[in-house]
Amino acid sequence: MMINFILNGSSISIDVEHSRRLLDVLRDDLKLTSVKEGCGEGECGSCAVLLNGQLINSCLIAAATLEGQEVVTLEGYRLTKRFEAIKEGFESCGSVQCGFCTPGFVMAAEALLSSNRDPTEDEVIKGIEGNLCRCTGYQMIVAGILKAKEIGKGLW
Amino acid sequence: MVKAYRPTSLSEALLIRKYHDVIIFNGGTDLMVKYRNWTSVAPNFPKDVLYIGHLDELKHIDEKSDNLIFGSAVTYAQLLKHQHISHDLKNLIEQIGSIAIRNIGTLAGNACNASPAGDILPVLYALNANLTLKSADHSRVVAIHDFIEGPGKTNLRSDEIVTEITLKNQTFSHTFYRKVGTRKANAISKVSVFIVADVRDGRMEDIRITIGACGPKVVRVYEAEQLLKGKIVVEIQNIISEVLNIVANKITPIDDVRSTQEYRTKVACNLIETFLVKELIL
Repeated sequence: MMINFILNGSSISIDVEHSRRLLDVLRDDLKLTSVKEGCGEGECGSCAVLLNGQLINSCLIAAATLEGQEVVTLEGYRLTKRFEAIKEGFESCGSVQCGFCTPGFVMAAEALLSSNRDPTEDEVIKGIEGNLCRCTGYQMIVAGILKAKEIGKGLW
Repeated sequence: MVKAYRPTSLSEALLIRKYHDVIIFNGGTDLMVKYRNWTSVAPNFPKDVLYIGHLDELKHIDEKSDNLIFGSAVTYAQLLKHQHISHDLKNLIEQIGSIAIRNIGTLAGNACNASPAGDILPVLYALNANLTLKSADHSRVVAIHDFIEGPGKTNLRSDEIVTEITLKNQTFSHTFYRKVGTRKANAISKVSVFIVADVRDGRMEDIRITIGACGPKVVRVYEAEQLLKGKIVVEIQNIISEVLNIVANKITPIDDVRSTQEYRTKVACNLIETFLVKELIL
């Protein structure tokens, strides 16, 4: 099936099986390896990307549903000023250890801050409810997002 | 390889449904896991797939004479953002799945999947939800408790599509929703309890009690509701054991990978007791 969508700001056409997961399209077909496969069933958030600005798990999206939609992965998002703020926040708070879950957490942080530019600690915790991290114990990630919100004031 | 249909209108979708044996793909959060394949291999759908989640005709949210009516492709996230949705309904929708799931999952999909643990189902049962089912030739309205026939089984005919869900947009003095799982987000419930009650002048005018994951279908405990209705709230403390007995006899939980029969029965009763003892007084 021919699918046309916007990926990181550029129009793209791909010919793939209609039910192929967005996760596999991104990682295998387009070599965007920031998108990680953790559980493959929507529970861990490692494959999270933005679809029309909304956080989704790319393992649950069939290629056929992408027609005309806009997808942003970390490869595109990292070119923005907002990413710089999140990066600095994460770096200064030790929010990254092994790094496997990090792209998903960055996308979740962007989804949160773009809908709520001044989240409380509880709102941050709720904002990353769908992401699992086995290294940090979450506290450093929550701190990193709260820090990013201060660093990036005015960007969201 | 199975075929994909991606119609541009509901009428086209209904014609495809009439003439072809297809799986309906709405949000896809359940189907993509159910038919999951090896990494980098497309999910293994056993039949042709009819995609309907993109159809604008299934994305409306309206309020008509106290009824909240929304299309079957409306996601949890769209409902959360909508002005007509009560604060209580929003609070409980926020407990379903996770942000990423709520952005694509639909309430109609949860109903059609008909899992005994479907998280929005106790809510649909308690609020007397009706589903509109359409085929190319007819349209009918079915109550949720008639629509779901058993685990994974509904009375949707092979030529029909769920197009709409209608809820009474009532306000209640008390709304209570608890799901018990291994994790707050995303976990499949071991037990869930949803109660709405309307207490006016110290009297229980209305109460609806529904329990998820404790039987082949969601259980609405009408007998317990009848017993509680009309009672003075302060006197309810005297009949709690009677209510809990009815509940324990009505539910038929099983032992499975997530929990046990004993645990589920105990927790369902405890949650209802918590509501009757602690929440009702406030």
